[in-house]
Amino acid sequence: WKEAEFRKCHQSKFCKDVRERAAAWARGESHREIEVREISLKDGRVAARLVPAGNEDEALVLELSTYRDGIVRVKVVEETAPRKRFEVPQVVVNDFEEKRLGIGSIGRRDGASVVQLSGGFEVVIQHKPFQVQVKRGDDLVLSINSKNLFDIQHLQVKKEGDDWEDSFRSHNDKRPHGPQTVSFDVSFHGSDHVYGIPERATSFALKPTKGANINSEPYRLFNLDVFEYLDESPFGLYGSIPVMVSHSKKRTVGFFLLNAAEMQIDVLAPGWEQVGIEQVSDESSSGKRSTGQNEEKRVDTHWIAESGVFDAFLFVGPSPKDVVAQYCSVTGTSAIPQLFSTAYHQCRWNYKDEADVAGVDAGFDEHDIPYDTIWLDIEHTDGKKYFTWDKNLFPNPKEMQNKIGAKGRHMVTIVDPHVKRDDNFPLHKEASSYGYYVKDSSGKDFDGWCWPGASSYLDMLSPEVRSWWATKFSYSNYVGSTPILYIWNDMNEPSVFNGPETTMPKDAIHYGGVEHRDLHNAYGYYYHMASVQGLYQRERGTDRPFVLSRAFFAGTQKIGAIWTGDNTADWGHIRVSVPMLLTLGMTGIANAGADVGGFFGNPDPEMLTRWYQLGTYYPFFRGHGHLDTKRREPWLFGEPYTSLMRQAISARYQILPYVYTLFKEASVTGIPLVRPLWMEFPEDESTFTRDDEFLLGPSLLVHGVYSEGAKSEKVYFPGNETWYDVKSGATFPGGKEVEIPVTLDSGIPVYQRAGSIIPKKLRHRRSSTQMQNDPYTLVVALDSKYEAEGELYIDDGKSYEFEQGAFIHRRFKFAKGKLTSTNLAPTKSNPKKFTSSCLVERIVIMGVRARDLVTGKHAVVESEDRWIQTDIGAPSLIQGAYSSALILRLPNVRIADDWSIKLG
Amino acid sequence: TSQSLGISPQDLKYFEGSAFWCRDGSKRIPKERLNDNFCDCEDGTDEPGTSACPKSKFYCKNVGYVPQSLYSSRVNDGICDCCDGSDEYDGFAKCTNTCWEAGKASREKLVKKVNVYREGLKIRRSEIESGKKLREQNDITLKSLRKEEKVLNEQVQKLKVEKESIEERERRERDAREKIAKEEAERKLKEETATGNIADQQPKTDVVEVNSVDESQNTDLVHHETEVDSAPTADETAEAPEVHLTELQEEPKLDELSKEDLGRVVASRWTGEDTTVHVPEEHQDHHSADEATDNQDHDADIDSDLEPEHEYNEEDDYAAYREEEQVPETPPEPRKLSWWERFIPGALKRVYNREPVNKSEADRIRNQYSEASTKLSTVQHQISELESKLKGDFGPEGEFYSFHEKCFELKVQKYNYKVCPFKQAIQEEGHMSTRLGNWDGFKDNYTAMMFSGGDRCWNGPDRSLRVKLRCGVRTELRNVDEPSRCDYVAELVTPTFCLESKLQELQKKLDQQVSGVHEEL
Repeated sequence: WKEAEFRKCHQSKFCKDVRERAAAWARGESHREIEVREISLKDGRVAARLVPAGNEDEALVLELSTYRDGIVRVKVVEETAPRKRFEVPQVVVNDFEEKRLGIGSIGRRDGASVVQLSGGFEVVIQHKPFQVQVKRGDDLVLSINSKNLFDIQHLQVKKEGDDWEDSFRSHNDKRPHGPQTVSFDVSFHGSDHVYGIPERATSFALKPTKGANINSEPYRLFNLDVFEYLDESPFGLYGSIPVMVSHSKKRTVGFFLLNAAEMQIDVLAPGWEQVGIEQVSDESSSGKRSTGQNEEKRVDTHWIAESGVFDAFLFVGPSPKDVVAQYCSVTGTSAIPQLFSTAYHQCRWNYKDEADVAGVDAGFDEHDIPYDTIWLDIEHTDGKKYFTWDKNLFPNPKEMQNKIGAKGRHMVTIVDPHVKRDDNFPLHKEASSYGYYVKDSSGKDFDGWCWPGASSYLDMLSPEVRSWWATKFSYSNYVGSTPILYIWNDMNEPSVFNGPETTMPKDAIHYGGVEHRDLHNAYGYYYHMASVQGLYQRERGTDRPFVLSRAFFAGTQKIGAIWTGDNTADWGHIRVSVPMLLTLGMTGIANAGADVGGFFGNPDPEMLTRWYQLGTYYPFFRGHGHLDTKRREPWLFGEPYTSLMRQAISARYQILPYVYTLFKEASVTGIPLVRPLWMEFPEDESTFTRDDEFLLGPSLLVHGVYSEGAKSEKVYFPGNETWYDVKSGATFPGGKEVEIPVTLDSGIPVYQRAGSIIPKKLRHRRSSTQMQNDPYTLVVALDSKYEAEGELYIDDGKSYEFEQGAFIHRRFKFAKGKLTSTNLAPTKSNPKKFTSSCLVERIVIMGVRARDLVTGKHAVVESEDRWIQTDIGAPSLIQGAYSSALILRLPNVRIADDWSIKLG
Repeated sequence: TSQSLGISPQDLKYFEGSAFWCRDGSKRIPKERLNDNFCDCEDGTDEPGTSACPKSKFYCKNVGYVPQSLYSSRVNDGICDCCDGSDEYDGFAKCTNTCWEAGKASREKLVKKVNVYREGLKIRRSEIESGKKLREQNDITLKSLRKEEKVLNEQVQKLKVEKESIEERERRERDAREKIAKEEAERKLKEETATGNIADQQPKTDVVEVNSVDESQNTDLVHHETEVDSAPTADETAEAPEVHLTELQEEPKLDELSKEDLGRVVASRWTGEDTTVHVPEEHQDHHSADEATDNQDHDADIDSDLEPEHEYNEEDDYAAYREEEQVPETPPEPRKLSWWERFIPGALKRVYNREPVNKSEADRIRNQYSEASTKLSTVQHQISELESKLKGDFGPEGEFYSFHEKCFELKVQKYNYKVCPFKQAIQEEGHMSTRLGNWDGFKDNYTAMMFSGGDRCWNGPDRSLRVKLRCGVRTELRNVDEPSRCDYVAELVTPTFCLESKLQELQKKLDQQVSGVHEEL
């Protein structure tokens, strides 16, 4: 962590200026108001002219549209300007406009304009001063410009004597277009907490950055490759999603600014405008405060984007899931992953050569530990030229992949966006002759430094470059690749070792003359997108691409998975992975994980074991380590560690049917796998700042162990219903925090929610591929009404045939002593079909009344008129321990069929 | 029958009755639940033939080859694991029986191996014998050395007495000389102060100044060391030179670097590569660059790095002896006599009233003494070397005794690896040499040699090398590898490791395989 190498707000002209000015305005030192001068309906949208401080020359144009499912879009641009501001392409989904609802009329109330939304919501535009409010009845939900900080710095033409340059350390930014910030305030009403704006390693609920006695850096959104980032720091990391969500007992609401420039966001606490100012007398300061005591609860935020447009989306909720779904209906839902990619990945910088790969693969088999994918980092290439192989270390890459593939396993190789400036490298020759590189401010190919040494960077903003790049993944272009090979995109912030803050200068030039400044945060997204397109084309659209990326932006979820970058082997980093994944989930990124074991440093066996035990429940589950670290494959630590790591990895394989069903849900609705407790229990206030535990889907409560030698963990059980320990079946009532004893052997605390049914596959296998025909176990956790329900989604795990109906979707319901499986898939005849001959081998029912809890009793498969035997035991295979669980042995009903089973 | 699937012949009896116990004693299971594809025993007892229990093992007969016991995860997983294909019986995978081919290949391999072991074992036996002889010889040498030591020791003691007595006289003379000089100087000073000339006072003050400079340098050094240790708590307002010092130890000042060097330096944070600026030809070659950094680091860390092995290092021992020899005063270099030295002889005689020590006689005794003690320490060194060698662990039968004098080398690309058992292991590249470790004994029941505490890696551990022993007819180093950075492994193939017990084991295995085939035929 090299703090001095990264810019603080006051070291950037744009941030310093706006932040100081906003505080001065808020103190009332200069009066400034935007007035709505004209407002009308145009093509079903509200169109208005905004005039700041009476200055007609700097008039702005507002356009407000409404969409299905409670979404409002507000765009504000200059009425006239010397140049067009950059609008971020390819983020809003193509069919979004189809969801637009034509606005029929604008109502008037108390001098304001009112537009009705569905669900009792309305948008109120106050005219003087200008303000946009979302209301439900009398309740104010969200407002823009309630603090009068809305400001779009009018684009100027450079005049003699204007000094627009801005330098930091040895780097100079020419800023040829001068100041052009977009800044404004957004307030979330009736709430104490805001969440979102990844990526940073800090708490889930965002702490204020400015206020009485609080004066820290604003939250920064600027994709950077941060060396050895800290585990408790608000500093912005590899990816940026300008989405903020606020939650209260009453409702959840969200705000998204579609803008890819550097952004700085302050979360304000009362007294913020006085920060850094000599304290004036109490009366005068309290008089000026807009939020005094005893006023409504609210969280005010101040947003500063260096350039780009004001293009905001408001999500009215009212539930947490609604907000995520609304956001994902704008930027896309999560891509449904290949089944193999939801299983365990084994990575290291670097598996050295073919013998090493074979040895690691054999090690997993020898120790009977499942894994699906082995990864090769940068050292596998010839001189860091991607799409090539080091001929000494990897002379026969195809043969190597075929061996891995013969066991149903996969391989991932790394491909980064920097291209070695080597005239003998065809990729470089092509890219430079076609002019496909980003240009420096003087118009020459930008020449930076990365792994290969002198490197240039592909201009991924250009659709032509992306299409060209996509062709590079074909089998004929990527020599030595086979169908089991997938891709890893690293360093795509982009990381430029000799650039300002280890990235590309903001005055570098992209396709269409766009400055890097305008699209920086989306660069990695476009790169990721082109790589995904490449794998898609490789199999002509029949195989789901898997590309892991480090950088991300709004919309990344519809492309692929991300991981939280170069973390460190220490307990703080295990702990912070949970709020990081929670934040990613709330901002649409359902498929994410932290490197198990920590990238830098050497985890001791206990720490590594704890990390595996938590990683089991990460959506993306990969072990990884730095070149300098000791080998840490799970069998290298001896007992009990090897067995415990096997158990942790095996636990992931057991819940794959549940995890895959959750990924399907995320692909339809956008609802993430890793959920804050309040997503399922929105009214439970004690969950609002809780980020040491999370829910995996609706039904599993997961609480990590984050310290060495921990003897117990304080677990909070949300809601009113019971929770069942997944191993022993022990029960805990909801609404309480309980100190749970933990040992390394017992694993981390994980509970199943009463009222849920979780499908599992308990057979132990080498990889997920071998589990295809294995029978299911259904774990039914009864609630106080003696009921439970759950779902299962199955398809071929790799193609797009599900789009043509080739899938199985079941609903399981237990009620009145009877478990029923019904079809959830559309029944109309489909062009494609997916069938499964898998049986149900076991049904575990937890929470059974004593009178039903009799061994040797029979249950009856009603659809077949067949009796099955019952047994008593714990939900896991550990038998003998007392448990209120009934096990139905070998019901052997087909998972794809309708059936019902009645307890005797 | 399907109920007997996956059960080894010797276990068949266990399941004979109408019910059986889970082997962990937890439950009694009725016979109809044997291999019914549902896991009743947590330990897998009831499902030897299916994948239902994660902990069960599947036995395949593999007629024509060797029986195998598989993890249950392999049963009906679509991959043919047993050469007889018996692990895949659910109809999804079609397996052909490859046991005959596998058996043939395996037997041929075994025959070869047995032959290697036989031949190796002969050599091993002769190694043990010659080791014993060598050891006896060493014992004899040691005895004669001890005698020689005794003689030399007496000689040295005698000379020491003589030398000390001469030196005592010399010391008194020196004291006297100094006293006279002092008095004379004081007298002169008085005179000269009176005449106002103080120029001749110079020599004395010179000495004083030199001393004080030395002292201040010493304390400076100490000061610096403590500062480096407590770097994090160092005052932020520290003076410029100190800041510069820490900067130097970490990275060059980034703002002052060329774009290219900046890229290199930042990249090196992840890779740990050398970023020494101004050595262009080394930039392409990151291995040699590694070495340079590592050596530097090792030097810098030497204080915290003092491993006990270090003290037993040969060279260090020699150095220690040499230092001891140098402790006695060496004759001062001839130099110009100052005014007061020229004045001394007469005055000395006056004060001391005795003939001065005969210089050539004194030097002769000193030389004799020095020669004798050099000889003594050489002999003592040889003794201690032999003693420690004879005390050393050369394997359960002393079979590695001759390895003490041997080094084994292997060239891998541009590196040459040199492993000297009982001493050290190094990696050479051209003229550069990196220590992979010092001898750290046999490991894992004499199946591996360990070298540890080698040169420290950038951002990593001390280098170490584990040499796994293998049986072979000729002794050679093989397969040097670095699975994690600076953690080296290698194989040493040698007849010395061809163990009798292992040969018997192999022979038995071969016999079983051959007889197995005959039985089937």
